[in-house]
Amino acid sequence: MLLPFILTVTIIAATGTGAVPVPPGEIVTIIFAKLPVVGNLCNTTVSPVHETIIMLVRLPRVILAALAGAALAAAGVVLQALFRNPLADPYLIGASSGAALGGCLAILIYPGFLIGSFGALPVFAFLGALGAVMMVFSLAQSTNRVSVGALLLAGIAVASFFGSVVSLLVFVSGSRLQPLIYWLMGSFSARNWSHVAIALPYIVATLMLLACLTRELNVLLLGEENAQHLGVPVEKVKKLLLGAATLLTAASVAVAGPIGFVGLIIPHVARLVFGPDHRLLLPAAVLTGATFLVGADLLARMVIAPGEIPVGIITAICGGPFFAYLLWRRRGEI
Amino acid sequence: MPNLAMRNVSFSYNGTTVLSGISFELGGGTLLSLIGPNGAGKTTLIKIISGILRPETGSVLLDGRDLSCMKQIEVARRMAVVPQHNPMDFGFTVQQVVMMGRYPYLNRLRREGGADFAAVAEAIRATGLGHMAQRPVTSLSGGERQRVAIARALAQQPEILLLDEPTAHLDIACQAATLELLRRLSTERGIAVIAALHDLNLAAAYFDRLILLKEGRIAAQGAPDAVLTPENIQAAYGIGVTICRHPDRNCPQLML
Repeated sequence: MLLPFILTVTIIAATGTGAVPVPPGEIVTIIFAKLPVVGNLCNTTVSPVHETIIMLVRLPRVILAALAGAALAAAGVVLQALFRNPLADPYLIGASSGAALGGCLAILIYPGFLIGSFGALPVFAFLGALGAVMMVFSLAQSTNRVSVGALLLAGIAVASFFGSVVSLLVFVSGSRLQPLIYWLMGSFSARNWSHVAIALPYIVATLMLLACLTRELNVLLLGEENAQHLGVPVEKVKKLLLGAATLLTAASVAVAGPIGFVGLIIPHVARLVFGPDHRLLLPAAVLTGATFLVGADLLARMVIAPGEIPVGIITAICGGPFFAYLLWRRRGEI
Repeated sequence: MPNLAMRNVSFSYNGTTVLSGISFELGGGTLLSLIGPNGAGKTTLIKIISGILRPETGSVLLDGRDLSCMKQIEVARRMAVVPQHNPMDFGFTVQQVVMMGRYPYLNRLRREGGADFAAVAEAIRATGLGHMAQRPVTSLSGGERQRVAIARALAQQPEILLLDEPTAHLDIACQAATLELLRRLSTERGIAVIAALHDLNLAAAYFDRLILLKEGRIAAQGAPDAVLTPENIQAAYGIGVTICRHPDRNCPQLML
């Protein structure tokens, strides 16, 4: 498979690029030297300055971008299958805006957020995402089935409500305005290993759960009724998938802020290239999402170097036109 | 040979009785059609037979075992259902969709093996889809999609095949082809076929037994000649009809 290779190359390129460029060979040596067993075999003739830059500044940031990209892409794949609608994404069902509100509350209630007390942010983000998704679902639920149209409308309603509460919080935030705004635009700036430590367990565990549910994701595309007749415990699987998508979104929003469009574009691109079978699509989307966000973050650092723009702006610039293109292609069906 | 028995089954949705006192038995190789006006309970009955809905009173017995004691995945190895709506809007190929019929035989760790590919190939051959096995289902016509749905059900290697309105939205050639296929499956493989139908003439021409439902009760059951009488139709549908005989197939046909 080509994808893991591309991801590795992108990660190394992104790690090497910056105010102090580090050659790829040295990066590999630095990383390998840190690994147990293999580390003893490496000659440690690397510049300590480079090692510090790579290990403490760039690598955690790049790994975090890869994790967030993987999580958002996987959440998008799951939601699109669950609703049998290729326009579903973590934004449309309210998960992102819920997580954003939760995150804002955490930043405002725990002003020390930028230094310590990381514990509050992911918890708040997850509760926000879960609350928003539950609100969307209870609004969209009519008698015993959830209609996709109602769901998307409810998603828009809840997302704009949560969005306005976020705006209100921004308005009254006073001295904490800057970190809040910067977080809301989505960025990997100044992230370190503790951020990785927050997101990694959630994201890896959830991705592993999803890897066990790929056959169910396929069968769900035949419609819930067919899935039920084939022996899929549909209600249980739906709850698991929804919980997983919510958790992935929340974990990524918690560490990187709400980053739009990754969960929409990447599943599409992966489906165009690898087809709709989730046993291939899910890992492909995870790797593509990771590569895309690492690349987008690299771009965010390079465009106005030595300054940087929030990565959320980059993904939105790529994603907005792509979404419009999708709508245009499917205009007859909606 | 499967034996399916309904014993005094009743069911209600939110306090409204949908089915009551349904009893019948069915063996392998029989074609049974459920007929009756809209809202008579045909779809609900199919869901109860397939174990998706649990009867409120009474029981469904498959070879003497109560269905409510069986796991749905166990039921899915013996009974396959073709519902009325079969969404196919993601670009799976015909082969991939039919392979999903093997879901009840696979577990998390097992990949599809020889037996699964054989069952899929056989289902695709039986439904005459061989030349389009690699085409995406999104590119197929309504009649072809219906055949894919039936092939997917056949890949389950069921002893009992349930279909809800299999001929709805199909042109007459596709209707005839679908019902011929069901006949062949029942005579050649001994599959018991239960299909809810709106078209009474098709039900009379292709099915061995009819069950006429009216307001959730069995108004009449038996051979087409016994069920399709002007009196029964008047009682169930509230319209007068003339019954004549099909000149070639020895079966009754209705005229409005």
